[in-house]
Amino acid sequence: MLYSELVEAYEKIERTTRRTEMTAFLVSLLKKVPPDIIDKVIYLTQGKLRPDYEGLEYGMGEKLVMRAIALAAGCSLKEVEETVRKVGDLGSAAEILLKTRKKGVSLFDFMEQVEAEKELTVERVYSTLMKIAKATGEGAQDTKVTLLASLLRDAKPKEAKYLIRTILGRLRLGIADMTILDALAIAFGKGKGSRELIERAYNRYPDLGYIAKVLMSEGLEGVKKVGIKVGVPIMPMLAERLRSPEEILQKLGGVCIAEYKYDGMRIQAHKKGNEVILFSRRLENVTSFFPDACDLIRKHIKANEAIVEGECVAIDPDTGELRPFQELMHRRRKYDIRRAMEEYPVSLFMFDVIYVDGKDLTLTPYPERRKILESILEEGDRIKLAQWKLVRSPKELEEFFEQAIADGCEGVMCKSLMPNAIYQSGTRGFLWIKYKRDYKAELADTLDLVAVGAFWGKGRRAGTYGALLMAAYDPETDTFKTVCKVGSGFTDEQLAQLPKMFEPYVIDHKHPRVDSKMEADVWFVPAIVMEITGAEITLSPIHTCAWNVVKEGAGLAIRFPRFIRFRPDKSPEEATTVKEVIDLYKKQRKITAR
Amino acid sequence: MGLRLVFSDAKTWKYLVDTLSRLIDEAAFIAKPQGLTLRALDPSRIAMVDLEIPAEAFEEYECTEEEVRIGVNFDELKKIMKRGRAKDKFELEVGEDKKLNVRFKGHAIRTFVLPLLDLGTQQLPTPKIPITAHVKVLSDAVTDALKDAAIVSDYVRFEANEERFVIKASSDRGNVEVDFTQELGSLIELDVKEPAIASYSLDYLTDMSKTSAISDIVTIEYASNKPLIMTYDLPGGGRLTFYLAPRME
Repeated sequence: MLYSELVEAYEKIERTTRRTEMTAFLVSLLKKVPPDIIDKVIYLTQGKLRPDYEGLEYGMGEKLVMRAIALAAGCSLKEVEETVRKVGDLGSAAEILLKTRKKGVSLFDFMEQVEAEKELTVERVYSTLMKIAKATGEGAQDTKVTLLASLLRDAKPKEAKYLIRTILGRLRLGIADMTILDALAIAFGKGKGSRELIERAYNRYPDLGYIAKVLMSEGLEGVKKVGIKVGVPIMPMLAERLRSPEEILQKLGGVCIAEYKYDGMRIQAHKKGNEVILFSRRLENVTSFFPDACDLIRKHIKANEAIVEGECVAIDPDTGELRPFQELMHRRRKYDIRRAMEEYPVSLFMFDVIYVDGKDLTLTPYPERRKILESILEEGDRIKLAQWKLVRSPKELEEFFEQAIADGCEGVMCKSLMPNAIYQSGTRGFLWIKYKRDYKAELADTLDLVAVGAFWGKGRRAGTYGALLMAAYDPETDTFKTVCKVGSGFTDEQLAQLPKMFEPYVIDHKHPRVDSKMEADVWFVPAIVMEITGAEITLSPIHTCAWNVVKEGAGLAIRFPRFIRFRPDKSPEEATTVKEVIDLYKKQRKITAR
Repeated sequence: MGLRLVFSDAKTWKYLVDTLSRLIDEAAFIAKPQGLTLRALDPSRIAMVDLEIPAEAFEEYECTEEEVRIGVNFDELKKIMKRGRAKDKFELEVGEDKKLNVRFKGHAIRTFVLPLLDLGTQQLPTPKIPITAHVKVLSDAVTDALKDAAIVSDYVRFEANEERFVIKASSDRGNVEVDFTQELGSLIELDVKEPAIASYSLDYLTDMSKTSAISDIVTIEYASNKPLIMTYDLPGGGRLTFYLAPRME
C-alpha cells in the first residue's frame, strides 16, 4: 500500500470540522488496507509505531530532524533553520525545501539504468521508522538521521510533511481511540452496533492495531475471544461519584466495603515470574520510575502470574506518614532514580486483582476477588491491603470517611458487594462510588475540563491568552462540549507560559471533535486537562454542554470558573463528562429547593 | 559452499569495517576466485563505497564457488572487529551452514559466528562521471584540511586548476582555506584538464577520510558540480573507493 494513500486521507481528516466526516474518511481509508498491514496503518494514523504502553520512542529531537531534512534536500542546516523560522514548523519547512530539492544531490542522478525512484510504501515507512526508533548506542544519532533522510529523499513534499510530524509526535490529527473503534466497527464489523463488542475487547487489550488485525482476520467472533494477557495493560475500572453517604448506601443496597482513596498514583502491576511491569492509570509504562514498587510486588505477591491493582503513595521516610500526590512527581525522571527512591520512598496499598495464574477474574464478583487478593498478598511494611471497612450505615461511612481524611487521604471508595459486582474494565459505573472531600469551593465538586480554544488577552495580558475555552467530554458522541471560559486562578508565570504550552496543539480551525457556539481566537486539539472550580452551574445560551437537555435552547455553564491545577495524568477522554455536569446541576437544584 | 580468507593482521580490517559501518547499515561482500569486492550505497544515497581486494592480497584465499555472497550488518560486524587486536591473524570463513565465522588468532583462537543476511542480488552500476581533475594528495593532509574546514562550516569546496588544489570552507563564522602545493610535499600529482569547482558534505568526507589511518595517499577525482571519487590504496594490495554526490549551490 502506498504511503500517499494515507497522506491523502490525513489531509481530508485535517480539513474537516465534522466528526462524522472524520469517521467516514477513516472508514474509507481502512477499507483500502490489506489485512497484513492494518495494524501498521492504525498505529501510523495515531502517530505511533506501537501502543503507547510499550513506551517506544524515536529519540529524534528537532535538531536531528533538521539535519535529516538538510541531507535529503541538499541544503545546509542553516537554510533549514531559516525556513523553519519563517514558516513556523518543521513539517511545512521540509515540504518547501524538498519541493525545491536540488538536482544532483543523490548519486542516483549520475547513474544510468537505475530503476525510477520508487514511491514510498506504508511497509517501507513503517519499517524505517521502526529502525529509527530502535537505533541505540554509539552512532545511533547518525544512523537515525540517515535513515530519516533516506525516507525523505523518496518522499513527495507532502509526504515529507507528515513523516516529520509523525517522528516529532505532532501528527495532530486528533483521532481518539474511540473514533477508531467506531471506524473499525463500520469498516469491518456490522456497522456502528458492533462498536460495543469491539470496545470490550479493546478494554481488555488496548492495542488498536492488534484488535484491528484480529477483526480483519477472524471477524467479530475472533474479537470476542480476545483475552487478558500479562504484560498488556487493561483499561481500568472507574468509579461514579455521589455526594452523601445516604445516596451511596442506597445505591449499593445498604452495605458496601469502603476503602481509603489514597492521594497517590493508581498502579496496575503485572507480574510474570520475576518480571514486574507497572502501568499508570493512563496505561503508561512507569516501571522504570519505581524499582522499589516492583520489588514489593515481586516479593509479596504469591502467584507466578498476576495482575493486581493498588495505589502507590509517597511516604515520609522518617515518620512513615503519607505524603501528597505532588511528591510522587519527583519520581518521574530518567536519571538519579536511586537518589529519588531514598528521598521519596513509596508504599503500595493494594485493592484489586484482575488475573491470577491463567485465570481471568474480571467476571468474578468483588467480594471473591478480594478474598483472592488477600490470599496472594503477603503484607509487609511497605505493601498492604488498602485500609478498608465493611459499612452498613451512613453514620459508619461518614466516620470512616472522616478517618480517611484525617489520615491524609482524598476520601473513600465504596464498592458494591452484590453478585453482579464484576470488574468493569474501561467503564465508569455505580459498582464503585467515590466519596471525596469537597474542596473549599462553592461547587460541590471540581471539574476536570479540556482546553479546546483560547482568547487573546488585553492590557496586562497582551501577548498571552486572556482566557481558555473549556469543555466537558461527551462519550456518547465522542465530542467535547464547551462549559466555560476560564481566566482566573492562574499565577502570572502560568499565564505567560500558556501560549508556549499550547503551541503544539494549535490548529487553524475548530477541531472536529469540539462542539462550540463560541468563536475562539485560537483553536486547540483537545489534549490538555485542567481542574476547574466555580460558584455554580447555570443555564447558558452559548455553551453547548447538555444542550437542550435541561432546557430547550440552553446548555450548562460554570459561573465564576477558576483554574486550580493542570491534570497531566488525565487524558481528554477522562475529563468530566457532560452527564456528570448534568448530575451536578441537578443536585445543586435539589439543595436550593430544600 | 566453501570460502576461507586469511589476512596477516587484523589492523587493516578493523579500520576498514569501522569506516564502512559509518556509511552503510547492511551490505554483502562478494567473494570470487579472483578476489573480494563490496559495493554499497549509504541509505540516503549520497555516498557509495566500492571495495576491491584481490586474492593475492590475502595470506590464504580459498574460494571454491564461482561466487559467495557474505551479507552482513555492519554494526554487528564492527562490534566483533573491535574485539580483535591489531596484530592478531584474521580469518573469514563461510561453510556449509551458511554462517560467517570471524576468527582472530592471537594468544588464543577466538571465533565469532554471524548469520548471513540475504540482501538480494541487485548490482549497482558505476556512476558516470566525466572527470576533469585528477589529484593525488597525502591522506593525512586531507584529513587535517577537513578538520580545519569543520570549524566554520558543514560542507567544503574543492577547487582545482592547472596550478593548485585548494580545499575551502566559508560561512558567516569565517573562512578557511587549505592550499596543497608540490613544494611543501603534500601534493603528489595534479592533472587538470579543465578547472573543477564542487562542494561536498563534510559529514561524509570526514567519515571517509578515516581511511587515512591505513593508507598514506589518496586520489581525488571529480569535475565541476559532479560527484567526487576518492580512492585509497590498501596496504598489502586492493583499494577502497568512495563516491560522493556533490552539494549543489
